[in-house]
Amino acid sequence: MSEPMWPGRGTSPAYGARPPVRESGGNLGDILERVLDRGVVIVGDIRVNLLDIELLTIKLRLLIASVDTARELGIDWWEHDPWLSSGDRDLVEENRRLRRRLAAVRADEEAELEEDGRPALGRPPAHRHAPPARGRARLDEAYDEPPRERVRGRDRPGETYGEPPPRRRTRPDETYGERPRGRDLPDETYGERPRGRDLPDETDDEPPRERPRGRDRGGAAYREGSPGRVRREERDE
Amino acid sequence: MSDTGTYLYAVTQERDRVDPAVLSELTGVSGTPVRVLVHAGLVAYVSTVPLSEFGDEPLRRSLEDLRWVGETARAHHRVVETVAHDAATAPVRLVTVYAGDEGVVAMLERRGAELRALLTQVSGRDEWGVKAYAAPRPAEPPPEEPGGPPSGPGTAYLRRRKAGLRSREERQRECAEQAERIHTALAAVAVDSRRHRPQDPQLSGREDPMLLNGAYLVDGDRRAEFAAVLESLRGPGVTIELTGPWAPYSFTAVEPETPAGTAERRDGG
Repeated sequence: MSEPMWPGRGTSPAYGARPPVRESGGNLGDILERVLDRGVVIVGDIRVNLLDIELLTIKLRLLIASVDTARELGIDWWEHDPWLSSGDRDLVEENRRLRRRLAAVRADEEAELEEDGRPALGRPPAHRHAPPARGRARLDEAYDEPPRERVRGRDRPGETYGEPPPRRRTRPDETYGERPRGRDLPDETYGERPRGRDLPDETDDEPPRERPRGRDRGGAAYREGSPGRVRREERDE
Repeated sequence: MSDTGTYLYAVTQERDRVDPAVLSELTGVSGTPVRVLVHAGLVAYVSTVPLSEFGDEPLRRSLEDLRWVGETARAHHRVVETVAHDAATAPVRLVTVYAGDEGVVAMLERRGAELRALLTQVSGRDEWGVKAYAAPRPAEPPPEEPGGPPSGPGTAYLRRRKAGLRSREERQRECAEQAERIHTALAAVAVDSRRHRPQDPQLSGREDPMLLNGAYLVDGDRRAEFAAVLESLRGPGVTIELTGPWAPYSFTAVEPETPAGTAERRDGG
């Protein structure tokens, strides 16, 4: 019994001798859900931190259909996701750092402009005037699509909101944007997401209340599709 | 310190011990053979695993590797299912590893009573998984523009969006009721039942929202009845998926023990 008689892992020899009744149940997602989440929890000597396991489960929940099925369907985005393909954490970190800085820069800038008594965003695009907004234009993804022509851009919010700039992630954005609010799973799950990817939290720290009309802010909010932002915008109306 | 550990898959009563011939053909995690440890009337199914793969640190890394997790989960599950094929089984959570066999034996000694009670509870019963999905509906036409005061396209957009949210909420309420109805009907023919969180579409592999992710512990001789009830619940507007029989993963919850020393290990991670 001590030597492996079946070196090949894929052969599943046990089912040669028996009807494969149980094999019929469940894809990998079902299996993972069970073996990670349920069953007897006994503390072994090698302790995989339960917290680790929970994090893992959350990631898995987000992730996999059956990995095989997903691949067959051509879904493989997790393989390129910096959070999931370990080793690229730096990217996430860097991203987060940049966003924090962006928020800070913005806040400063606005404070300055307000002191001047000039509306920061209700005027023609900043680049026509001059310097201050460069950092903003470069860093903010909302500007991927440069301001169209002058003020008119903001009279066409439908356009701006309707076609968000392409995002890094390849999964359908609807899962974020259109997500029904009351569902418990996504909220919980997404609440736990690695922060680096949660753009709304990072970028939207300072409320734009005073200037509901700024197209860039609106654009950012809708692009992210965060329900919280939508609510705020509604109030502003 | 040894460079191997003992990986634990499942526990059964000694009398239900799997045929050694079957066991010898079974491959466990990481391609290891599966063997048994017998103590206090219980059998533990285990493998000897290299700590270079299943030690503290390697595991931390491995658990980030989906491929590894997938393979390990399948192997773990395969062993559990084989054991559970005709025995009341307590499946153990993935990657429960001891420094050696003594650790497992000590655990059987320590928690024997609890495990025996649990095995009695699931004896002669199977777990069935039932997932219900809302069947896809044709996209609703955009609501009519109300003829109120003239407003900019931004307002119109928000109004549309609001309306969309409202109808979604309604829809969700319907779904919740439907899920409740299905669960109640199935639970009535089951010994025990659990409602798990509906899976995310990414995990379920289906676009339709999952209404119900239930697990039902069903007596062997009520299996047909359970199936009949399930059939009766199928209908328009809902897709029902049955999986199983599973080892009773959802019905073997025991209080996790927290021996002295666990706490700082956790924090240390």
